[in-house]
Amino acid sequence: MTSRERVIKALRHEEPDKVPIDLGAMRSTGIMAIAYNRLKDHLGLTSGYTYLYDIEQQLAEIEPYFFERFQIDVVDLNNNFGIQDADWIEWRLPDGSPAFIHRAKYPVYRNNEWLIVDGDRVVARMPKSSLYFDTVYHPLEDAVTTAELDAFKFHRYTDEELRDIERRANFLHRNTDLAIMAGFGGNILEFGQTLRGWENFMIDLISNRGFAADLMDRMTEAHLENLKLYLQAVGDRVQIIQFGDDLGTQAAAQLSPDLYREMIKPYHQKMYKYAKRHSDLFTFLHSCGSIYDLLPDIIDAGIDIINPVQTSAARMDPTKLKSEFGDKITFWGGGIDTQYLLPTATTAEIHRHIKERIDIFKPGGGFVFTQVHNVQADVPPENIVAVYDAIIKNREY
Amino acid sequence: MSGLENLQTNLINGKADAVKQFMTEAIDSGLSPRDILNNGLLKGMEEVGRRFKNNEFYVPEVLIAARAMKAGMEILKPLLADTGVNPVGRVAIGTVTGDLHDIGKNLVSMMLEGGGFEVIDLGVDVKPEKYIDAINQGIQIIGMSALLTTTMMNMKSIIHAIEAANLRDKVKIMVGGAPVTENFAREIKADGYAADAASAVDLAKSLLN
Repeated sequence: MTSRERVIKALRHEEPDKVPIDLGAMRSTGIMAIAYNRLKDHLGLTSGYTYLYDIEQQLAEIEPYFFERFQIDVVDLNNNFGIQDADWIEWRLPDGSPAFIHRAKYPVYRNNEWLIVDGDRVVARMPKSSLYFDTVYHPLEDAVTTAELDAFKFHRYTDEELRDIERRANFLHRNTDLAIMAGFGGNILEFGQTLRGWENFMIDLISNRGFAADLMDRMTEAHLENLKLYLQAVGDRVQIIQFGDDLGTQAAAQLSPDLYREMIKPYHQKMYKYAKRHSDLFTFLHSCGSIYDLLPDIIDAGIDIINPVQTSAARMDPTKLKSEFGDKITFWGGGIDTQYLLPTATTAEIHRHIKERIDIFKPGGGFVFTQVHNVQADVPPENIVAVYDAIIKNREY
Repeated sequence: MSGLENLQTNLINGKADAVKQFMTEAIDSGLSPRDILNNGLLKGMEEVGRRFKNNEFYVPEVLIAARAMKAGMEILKPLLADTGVNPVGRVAIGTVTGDLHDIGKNLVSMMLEGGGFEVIDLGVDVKPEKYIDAINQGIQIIGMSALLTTTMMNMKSIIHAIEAANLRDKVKIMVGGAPVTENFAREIKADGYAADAASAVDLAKSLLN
């Protein structure tokens, strides 16, 4: 059974030969470049280069070697598979180890911090003591009228971008037997929070509903236009379309199920159902935190796969999730806790934990193994190797 | 419904304009600023905290209630100062060195204000020296927040810096944030941990007792 067939079978809620494995197929199942460089050192790998494909989160592109070593079954549509063009420039990560950054995203260093700038404007910053870039620009923070919303230019795919997406889909489809994840995005709540500022948008949702809806109408219109073009570009060569929208916090959902249903779900539903109607792709939603209360609505809105299954958040007990929702949605994640366990656990603890999780999630398919969110910079390479030793040992059905 | 009950109900429902109106009415009716604070605003925020802990309220409801509280406080604050009503305690709060995430910290800050505390917001990426300055200015409690496993370790070095400055016995230290646990708090010798913004208020109160 090929990786692609294995993933498809699991997503159809059937039992494949083995539990599929993901590392780095989207921007919340990856590994930070500092941890990645240490992992390569630990494994004695001297070939290849570390490419930061997500500079904000400092994520490393998974190189071909690891697909074999860790038996990875899924690939990000944007993965260059070790074939990079000349537009990458060497940079030093916060720990001093090397990584390449794309020319277009190369940061500037000013007053003890790294900045990503767009013209004169600082859009994200990483202080010297930090390991991430955080967005600091909220373009609609002060907006009060719909005219200001109308004036905002949402990104639309250019022909060149679409050609690149099509080329990538063709390349990976033809040259690998991996399942391919096409990262679309289509965030609504998170996008509103980025454009308006987190608190502003949360307040809009409850006390300025008309304005919030006006903004979400416009972003959804742009998302749908992009989604149409994106689906045409990837065609039937990819298997999964990835959406994102963080809806949880550590302690609860960010908003009540009623408010979700009233304000956000209609927009989610429009996009997810569009993808279902116009393609055979599986719909994937990345949504962090405690989202137990929202899962029935997320499923109803048209989502097939949920990630990262943050089992360390409130009310996200794996056994309960599997028994209540296991036949309706695929759990893509939850394989090992990264908040309390992965950075500090012993090899034996990792093996025990992963065995438990596989026993819970594997029956009947509907499970793809990956850790909860990205492997952070502080995770020792021995622990990463232990994770893959454990899943490889226990993955057979 | 009495004036203070109206004040409370509108605060809980996040109606800032109504809170302002009932605040003015309460003051005009001759109620003492202390009474309005304790039995109007703080009681209302206590109920907001209770509902938040019980999943009856989510973040948006808390945010608009906090905003209504702030609107009321703007009117009441000068009168409180005039009549010598002091805050329950003084807290300096910040997201630790290397971490720019402030959603949790801001929620805790709002709820502490709602609990009658004076809160000094030190911002994000807060270095040890800033906490030390705050202690030197008579702060009773330090609040430290971190979202990341990589940055929560900086809580430990900040506590070390406070110890090295011989200020550890002058201040109570509370910690919180997604990856932080009760055990971790004990390990780094913090005085307390709270899992959510409403519990942080209970914790701060207990630390001062």
